[in-house]
Amino acid sequence: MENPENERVELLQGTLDMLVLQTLLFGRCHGHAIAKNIQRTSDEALLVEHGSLYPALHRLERQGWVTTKWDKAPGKNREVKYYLLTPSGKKQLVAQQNRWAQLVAAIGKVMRPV
Amino acid sequence: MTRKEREEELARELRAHMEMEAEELREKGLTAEAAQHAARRAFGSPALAMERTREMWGWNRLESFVRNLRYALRRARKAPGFTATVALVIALAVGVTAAILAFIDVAFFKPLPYPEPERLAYIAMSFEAAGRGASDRVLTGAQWETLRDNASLFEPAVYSSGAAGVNCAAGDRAFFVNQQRVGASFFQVLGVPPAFGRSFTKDEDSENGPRAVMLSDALRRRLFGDSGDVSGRKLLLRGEPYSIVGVMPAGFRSGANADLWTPLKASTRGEGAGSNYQALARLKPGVALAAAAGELDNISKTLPVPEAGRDGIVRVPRFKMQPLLEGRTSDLRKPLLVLLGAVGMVLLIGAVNVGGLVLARQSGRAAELATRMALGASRGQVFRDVLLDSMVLVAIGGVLAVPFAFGALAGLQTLNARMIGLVESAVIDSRALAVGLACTLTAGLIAGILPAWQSVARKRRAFPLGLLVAGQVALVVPLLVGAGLMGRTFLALWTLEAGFDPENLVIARISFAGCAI
Repeated sequence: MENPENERVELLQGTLDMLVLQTLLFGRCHGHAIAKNIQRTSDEALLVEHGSLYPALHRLERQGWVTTKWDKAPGKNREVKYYLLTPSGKKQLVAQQNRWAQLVAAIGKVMRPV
Repeated sequence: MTRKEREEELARELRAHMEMEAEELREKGLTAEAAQHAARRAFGSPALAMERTREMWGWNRLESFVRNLRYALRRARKAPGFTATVALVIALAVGVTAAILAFIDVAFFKPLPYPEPERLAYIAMSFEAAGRGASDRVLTGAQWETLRDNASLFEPAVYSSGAAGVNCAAGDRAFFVNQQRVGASFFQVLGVPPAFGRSFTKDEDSENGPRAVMLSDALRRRLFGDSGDVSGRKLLLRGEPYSIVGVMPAGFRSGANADLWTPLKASTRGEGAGSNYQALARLKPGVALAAAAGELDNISKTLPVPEAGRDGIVRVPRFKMQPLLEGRTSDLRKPLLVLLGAVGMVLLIGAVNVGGLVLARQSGRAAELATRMALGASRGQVFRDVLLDSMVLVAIGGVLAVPFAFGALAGLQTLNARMIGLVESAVIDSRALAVGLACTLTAGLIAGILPAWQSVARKRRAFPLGLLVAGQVALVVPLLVGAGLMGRTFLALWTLEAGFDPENLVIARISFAGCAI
């Protein structure tokens, strides 16, 4: 399951926001879990850089697509900052998914072997 | 949320992140210490994450600017010698440029301080000699009378060029003051009525007329204090009694550096027939300058043509009309532009020199900048930073330039006050300061762009310094040649045979206050 370093792909510009929103669709999450989740579900192909993750989270918060809440982590004696998807964040996710699907389809058409 | 709370929250968030990471690794069987290390390694630079997140908050740009500014100021303070050198170079160059620009402003752009200045014109006497072009002169009393008696489209006024020093006594006080002689219509044509009393009558302006004098507001205060209307009082000029008929308002400038005015008493004979009069005119409402100049041409034709001069050439006198500002400053304009060119060049050289100095100092900072870039600073950030560094140095010079500008202006004024009355109205005002600011910014950009570019250049040995040196030499040589020529001229004038033996001669000025000679 571990992907060797050289098979990791860099995140396409602008896709991190969509990945974060998608992750939050299944419930509230903190930064660490979001990063792990993206890495795990992509079979470690996508590496989320923390230098990008936290700016992205704060950007999403400013746009009003996520809200935040400090809360106790389950089973741990520690408070962590949770991110929650807002209704407008859900709409945004749908819009981004559509755009992404179009992009993949379009690129697929170009790259399809003749 | 305040800035500090936000910062703390972000730090807490990142710390929690790292602890969770370490916890996970511990669960995988790493020792606590190894887990800490690995977590840290995996996270990358927390400073970078924080920095990027802060940028996300939006209001970071101004703040990072302020921080960089502080940093640049601290660096400037740490190298006082270097900073002082740079600031002095820039202060000198910008200060002198601003002073010259203040003169240029007065000579070219600022409307004259009289009502409806666009209706004011200057009348010069031009002597045209066949094949020799024209030379401008002042008027004689006779020429003035021709002008006065024939003008219908404009109202002319006559005045003496410049002011002359005289003794003035009132009550128990005596002063050495500057007197300017003006015709009866002078103040009326300028459009400025006296603050107290009246201006001269035709009677007072004629030969053997009663002795009358008008005071500037400043002289009124010096002589009589705050006693208000002093018209009707007497004072002594050159020991002769004059009655004060009026006082001009504070701030009035006649174009000469005058403290008081007496009637010119222009005439066709005697003292009044002298030939150092100047004339100005106010066009009647709705009359164009060209129309007035046309009438003036016709008046010129009635002037008697003098006999041929000693060189056998006949010079035909002709009146010439120009807008007042242009006419008054015609002999000042070219030298001012030349001066501006020279100081502009000095400013440019100063800026390039400062650029060279900063560049030299930059090499001592190479390690620091490389470290910063390795830590994640972008090229743009480093570029801005280094540029800001030079800008700060130059800006310090810009601030220092303000007193320099005032000093240079005062110096130029004392040099010229006797010759050109106009320079007294040159001031360092918001316009001059604005241009000075623009000069400073330009100089800062010129000085800073090269070091900034060099600091982020991919190839380290990038800029051919020879080019810099060549550019500087190219700028300096014409300036040096010009200065050298001027020095030569000055030296030649200095050593010029005076026509008498100056050995053991002294010049003394004696003021005979209050006694008639």
